[in-house]
Amino acid sequence: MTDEQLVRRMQQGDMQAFDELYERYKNDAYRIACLITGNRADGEDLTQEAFVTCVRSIGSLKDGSKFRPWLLRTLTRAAWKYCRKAKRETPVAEFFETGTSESALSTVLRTDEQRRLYEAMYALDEKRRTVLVLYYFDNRPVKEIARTLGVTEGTVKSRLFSARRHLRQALTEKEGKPEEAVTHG
Amino acid sequence: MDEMKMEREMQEMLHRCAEGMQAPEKLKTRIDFAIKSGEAPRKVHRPFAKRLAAVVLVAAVAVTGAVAGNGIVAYTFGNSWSNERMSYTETQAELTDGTKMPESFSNGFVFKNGVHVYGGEKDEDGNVLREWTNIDAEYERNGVTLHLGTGEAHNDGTTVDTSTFDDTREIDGVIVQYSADDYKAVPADYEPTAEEQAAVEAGDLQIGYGSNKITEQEYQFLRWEQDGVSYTLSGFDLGMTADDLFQMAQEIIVS
Repeated sequence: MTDEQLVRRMQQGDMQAFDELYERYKNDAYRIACLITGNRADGEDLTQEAFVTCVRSIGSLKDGSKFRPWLLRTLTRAAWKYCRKAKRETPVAEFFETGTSESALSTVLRTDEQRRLYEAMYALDEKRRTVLVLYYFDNRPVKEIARTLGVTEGTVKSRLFSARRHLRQALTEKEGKPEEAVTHG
Repeated sequence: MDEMKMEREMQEMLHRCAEGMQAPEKLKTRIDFAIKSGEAPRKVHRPFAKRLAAVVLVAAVAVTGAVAGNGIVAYTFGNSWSNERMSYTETQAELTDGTKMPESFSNGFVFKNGVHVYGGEKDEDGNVLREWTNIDAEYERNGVTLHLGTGEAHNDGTTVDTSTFDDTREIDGVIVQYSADDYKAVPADYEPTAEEQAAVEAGDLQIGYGSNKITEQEYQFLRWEQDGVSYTLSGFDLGMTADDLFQMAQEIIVS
């Protein structure tokens, strides 16, 4: 059964259709939420919020075939709000788990480059980080990311450009340090 | 590291982080519980007041318009932000009977001042269909400003769909609608790109004309009607959740 058919059934009050949609997209949503927030516990909360919001406002979804981008849009908005609130209330160093706690995502990274990229990505604001996740993890083209986030393609390109520049700078600074030491030493 | 390698490392890094990650079994139980403890999904038809309120909020704009599907243009043709700051008592005296405007909310937002906002509707030929005067108020908490708009409910609630709203809830028998959007403030002579125009028409982007420079912010908006009065709660970069705003609406509705 297609998303469109399931959404239509949901709009008629059939919650079994929601169960099917949930099974179809639960892992996508959960992984993206975890990657945006930086840890599993918050990713779980946001995935819950996104699916509950979708159920409550399913009547407003005109094109059922767009359920996935609609779900991700709800999810990313919830994530942005969460990140802003968490940043105000929590020191940055504690907010993004870069240590060895069980829920920290970075514990699986094997190379220095990947660890640097991880740290650099979580130093970005939530909107740029979201674009990186959708582009590099979810493999979505700019046009689809723009539709998902409800912004223009130009805005996505701009966020992607500045995020890449930030990542490059973070890598270059780290790579450059030993050379500078040799030069001045 | 060259560009290609960085791109590959980014992809690999993210996929490694998410490797083997599965939504926990308990998550579905939590979701089902949250759905059952809240209200059932609903489909509601309400007018284009969201977009109207968005243009109303651009207080510095002299004349703005928003076109509904039926060709009627809703517009704000003036307000008194620049030369009027009514106290709480003065604002209360201006409100129509039955309009509720609290002095403060339990989350710390406190009434700052009130103003008159003048608006109306024209048909496609520019003929004025009706005009009205609304009362808006600013509330402030820790430097964050939130607007409460009030006015006569002008729509019968059946003409425009709600596809641009993100969440709809029922509070004490009143339907409350919420949305959060990226909002782009631009100079009066700004020409939207084809992409932006498409996003506007799809309800994905709000553009406000009249700003000195181009800025992008998050705009959160809540609307409802109660006893013939239309209410809006809105603001830019509020840093609040939908639940926070629904709670504020509830305080007004049940008061």
